[in-house]
Amino acid sequence: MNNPKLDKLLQSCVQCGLCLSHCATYLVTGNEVLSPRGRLQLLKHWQNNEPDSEQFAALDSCIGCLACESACPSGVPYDLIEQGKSRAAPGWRTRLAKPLSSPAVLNALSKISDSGFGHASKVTPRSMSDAKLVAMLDDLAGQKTVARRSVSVCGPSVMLFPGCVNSTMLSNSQNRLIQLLQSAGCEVEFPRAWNCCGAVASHLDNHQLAETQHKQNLETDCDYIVVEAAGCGRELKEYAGEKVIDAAQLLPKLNLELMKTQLKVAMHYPCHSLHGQKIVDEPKQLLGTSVKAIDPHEPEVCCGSGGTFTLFHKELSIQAGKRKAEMLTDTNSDLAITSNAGCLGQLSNLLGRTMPIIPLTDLIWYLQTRSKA
Amino acid sequence: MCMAMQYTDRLLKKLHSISSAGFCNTDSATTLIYSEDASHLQLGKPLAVVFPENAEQVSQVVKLCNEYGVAYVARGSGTGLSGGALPQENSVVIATSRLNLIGPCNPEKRTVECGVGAINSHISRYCLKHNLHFAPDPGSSSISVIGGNIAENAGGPHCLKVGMTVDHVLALRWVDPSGNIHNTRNRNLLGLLHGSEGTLGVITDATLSLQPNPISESTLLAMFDSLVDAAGSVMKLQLLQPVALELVDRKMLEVVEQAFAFGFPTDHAGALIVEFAGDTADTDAQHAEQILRDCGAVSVKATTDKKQREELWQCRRRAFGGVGRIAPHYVTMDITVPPGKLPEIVRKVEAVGEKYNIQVATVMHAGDGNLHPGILYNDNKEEAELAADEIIRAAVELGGSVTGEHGIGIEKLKQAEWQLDKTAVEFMYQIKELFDPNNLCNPGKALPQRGSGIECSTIPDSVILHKDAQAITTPVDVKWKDLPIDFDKVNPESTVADAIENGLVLLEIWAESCGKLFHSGARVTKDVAGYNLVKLLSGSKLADIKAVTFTLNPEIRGIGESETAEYIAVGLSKIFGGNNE
Repeated sequence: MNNPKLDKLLQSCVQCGLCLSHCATYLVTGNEVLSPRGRLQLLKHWQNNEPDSEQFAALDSCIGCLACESACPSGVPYDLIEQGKSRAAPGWRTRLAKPLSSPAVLNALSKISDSGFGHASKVTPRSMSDAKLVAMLDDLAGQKTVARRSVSVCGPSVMLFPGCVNSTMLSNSQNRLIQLLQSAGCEVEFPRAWNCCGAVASHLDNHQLAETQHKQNLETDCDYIVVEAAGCGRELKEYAGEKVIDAAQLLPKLNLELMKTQLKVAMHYPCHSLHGQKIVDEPKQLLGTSVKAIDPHEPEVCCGSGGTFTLFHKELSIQAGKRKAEMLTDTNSDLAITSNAGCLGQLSNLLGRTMPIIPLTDLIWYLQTRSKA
Repeated sequence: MCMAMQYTDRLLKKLHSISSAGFCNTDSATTLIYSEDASHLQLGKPLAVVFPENAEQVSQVVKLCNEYGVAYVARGSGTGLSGGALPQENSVVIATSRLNLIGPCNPEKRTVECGVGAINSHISRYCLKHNLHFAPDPGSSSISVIGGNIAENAGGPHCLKVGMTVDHVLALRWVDPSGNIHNTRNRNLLGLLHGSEGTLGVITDATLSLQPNPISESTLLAMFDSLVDAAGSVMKLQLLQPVALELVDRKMLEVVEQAFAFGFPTDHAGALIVEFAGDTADTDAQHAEQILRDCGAVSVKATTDKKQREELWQCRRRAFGGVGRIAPHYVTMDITVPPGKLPEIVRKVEAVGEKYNIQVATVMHAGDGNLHPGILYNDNKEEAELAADEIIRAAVELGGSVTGEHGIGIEKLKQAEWQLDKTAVEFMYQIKELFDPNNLCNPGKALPQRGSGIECSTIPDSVILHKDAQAITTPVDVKWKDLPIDFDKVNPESTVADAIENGLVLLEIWAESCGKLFHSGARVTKDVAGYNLVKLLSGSKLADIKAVTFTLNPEIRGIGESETAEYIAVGLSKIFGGNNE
């Protein structure tokens, strides 16, 4: 694949290696074949040579977390690896994109799969002595269905993008977000018809399908399209930007009143919000002084969930998740929060009984409703 | 051909059998990726890449390589800039990334144990709970491993006051090129292994000494309209003993600003970063501000804010990686000059840039006179190298070194000839032969061609004060009371030779061994050209040291435990003809 433009971009990699320590697959294997610099070297090699199966496998082991892109001093675009990945993808998997990007299928899959996905719908077990924390988790878990209320509208109009996983496995959390938005005076709408955002298709290198899905999701007159899942948010922003906003970006604008607590909260930043959407400070701004927010070591490194990565590279995914779980545990926090269903499933699975992990919006909902009580 | 294939296959089979799947990798992706590193150089594709998890496995690999006559090289994160860890064609790469256990940390003794595959910054992170850190912080500290730091005797911005890697390593566990495992605390041997670029054995574990995290720190950012003026302020600032003193030129500021948008003003010739730590950090910074303004700084900004300081250092550390934004290729230099000669070398760099009409982006560890001018080029590599050589020669002529911390590797083999003493080079080769008789341990690196080098300069017969280096050169039989410095740790009636026996830290020596006079070291604190004969010989009785150079703030570090493997001790005394009972 001789391509002068690609060649120029590849040359901007000076091979300094600073990306290695940000790459989850390198950190857990110590093998440079599974590192961003290694994968770029393979792409350079491809300019003149036909790749073999091992070289394909190396590219395919990329989670697509984008941490290397944030780390790279020379600004090498991750797209390069993605392009290579597309070439490496086996046809059967590309064809899986269509059936997989459906809420019903994902929901069914979550019930039978023992990979990270299956745990997103379960409540995290806990062994905490902090009575308040236990009460909060009970509260969040106990509600069978969270009602949607309507209140007077004085804020922006918002279309909530449901998302396949969030609308099914995390429907209670989604309803809490709606309550939060409504209580702050937002007019919340739901799309009449919507699709998978396109991320699953992109992950499985079916870019044609992804594009069709993008288009259908972005038709609205609302001020914002609010997205909970980092993966969906990044995908939609990439396609048609301005209106799409992550919940963690919108909520700080609403001046919510939050209860002050002594809780120590470990932050887990989903890659597609931290690297994909450059949402860095907002979650902490949102929490303000209501809790003590603590960054773990390596906050920028992926938990290994990576959408469908967890299905097709299970061992690597679990290794990366264990490392992340250790880093979160090392913060000695009461609980961890995140804002992506995939991370939530992966980490609640691997944190097990050592630390509960809940969606960021659930914590905000709790702190907001208790502040009023 | 067929025979050779079978032969290689047998070696690979045995390598595979050392451990489970994933230990020995021979596939095309692995051999391609491990044939390169950050140096952009290449020697050949390795036969296999192995991932040992302990010294015993390393020893097995080394023994097998000897049995089959195959070369091997230890590799950390591949961030070396001189090609020191590149594999030869059909050799074995010993990847150290899984020798990465850290701990335990002993907060009382301020030490930590680690495998050589431990990432530099992860060590400080691990020791954070005890408020301790590992001082050497090369630009690559977020990924480079301790093994590579030892192999190149790495420095970094914060080594100014506390010394390079060699000054922070207490003991090493290493596999010699015959496959024997040693535990070494002997200062002379440690001094030799540091900076030997992995050519004398494979280090597997280290005991590091740690520094307390400073209670308060103050950092100044001073902008200059003349880079020469900025360089000229360095000697004056040194008197305040800053912990870091870094200089970044205009071109590099542009790169950093493009890459990280830190907010540097880019319309200045240079930015000087000065950092102080400890109780007096704030008042030191105030004094420094005055000095900076007197030296021509157009603006000085102070900060004690931790986040701002961290961002500033992030920019500095990642500066070179950002060069890819403005040029596809560059030649990096790593020259060192006595700090007082900084204005001269800066002028030289500017002149060379103009002469060749070529862009140069420079960062400097100005405090220790270590410069990294990077010559940017598109296609004309030959011209870029010619320009670089002119600058390197100038550094040597000013009493400096061709490499302060990146190492000779394969990149600076020719330039090393301009600096190293011919007799010293011969001794280095004899040392290499003693350790690695089959020449399989990272061959072809670190030492210039045998027989090359310069003639030994005359042995100084009187005391010389070097104001440019804050150093003194003296014959060793001179008494302390006759030297123009105050040093209360020695008896004024004793001689310099007595202090050397007790571990006086030296920069440079003139010595006699086997009837041959030779010189080693340079008038700078950072010098990794060739093996470190200064550290090997000082205090050892191996060679008859005639004259030495040391800094005006002399230090006695002690000589540590003296026992070492018998064959090494006997071998070394044969080489140097000394008396090393």
